[in-house]
Amino acid sequence: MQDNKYDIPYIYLHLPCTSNAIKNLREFDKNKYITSTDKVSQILSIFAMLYRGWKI
Amino acid sequence: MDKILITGFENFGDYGENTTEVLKNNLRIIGSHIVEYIIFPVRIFSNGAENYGKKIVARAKEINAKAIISLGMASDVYGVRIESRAINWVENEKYCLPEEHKMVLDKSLYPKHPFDVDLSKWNIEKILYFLCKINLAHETHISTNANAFCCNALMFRTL
Repeated sequence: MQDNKYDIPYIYLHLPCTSNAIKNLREFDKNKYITSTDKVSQILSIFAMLYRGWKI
Repeated sequence: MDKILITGFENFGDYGENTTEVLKNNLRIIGSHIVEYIIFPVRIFSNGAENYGKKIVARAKEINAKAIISLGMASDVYGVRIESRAINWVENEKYCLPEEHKMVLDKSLYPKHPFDVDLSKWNIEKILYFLCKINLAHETHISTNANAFCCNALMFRTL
């Protein structure tokens, strides 16, 4: 364990798969799991929203 | 300009790409902050895996990062999911090597000892509100289970 002693603001985000990520996975329920984050521009908009909500 | 450190993972298994690695080629600035990336292999103990947490915190200090944003990809999430807890445990039947499966990360602490992320620096309600406003898929609850593979290990070692 590394002690984050400088108290740098930290956040962990899980992102869903893109369609490219799952294209070779036969067992994957593609209809169920592809989300709007499939487009890079929309993934990027996550960070625009994140930025509006951080206090640093 | 101030800097932000973003961490992600390389591709693994049968996936065609890792969502977190895609960002590296497409996101250089967030607001008024320059983004720096560290992309790690999907390893925990084996094949020369380093202590990712130590490297992350050291680099964040070097560049005087104003924040660290770690990213992982999970096939079971419908949208953006905020993780709030990491545990002292490794468990993944599909992707762990036999010597990694069902092990503690830090032997000085008891198995499954939790570390919670201090989310007070982030306006979580506001973030979720804006994600909802632009119809971006997200999970409305804050997760306390980052699974017990690389994402959890990276979080645990960074906190």
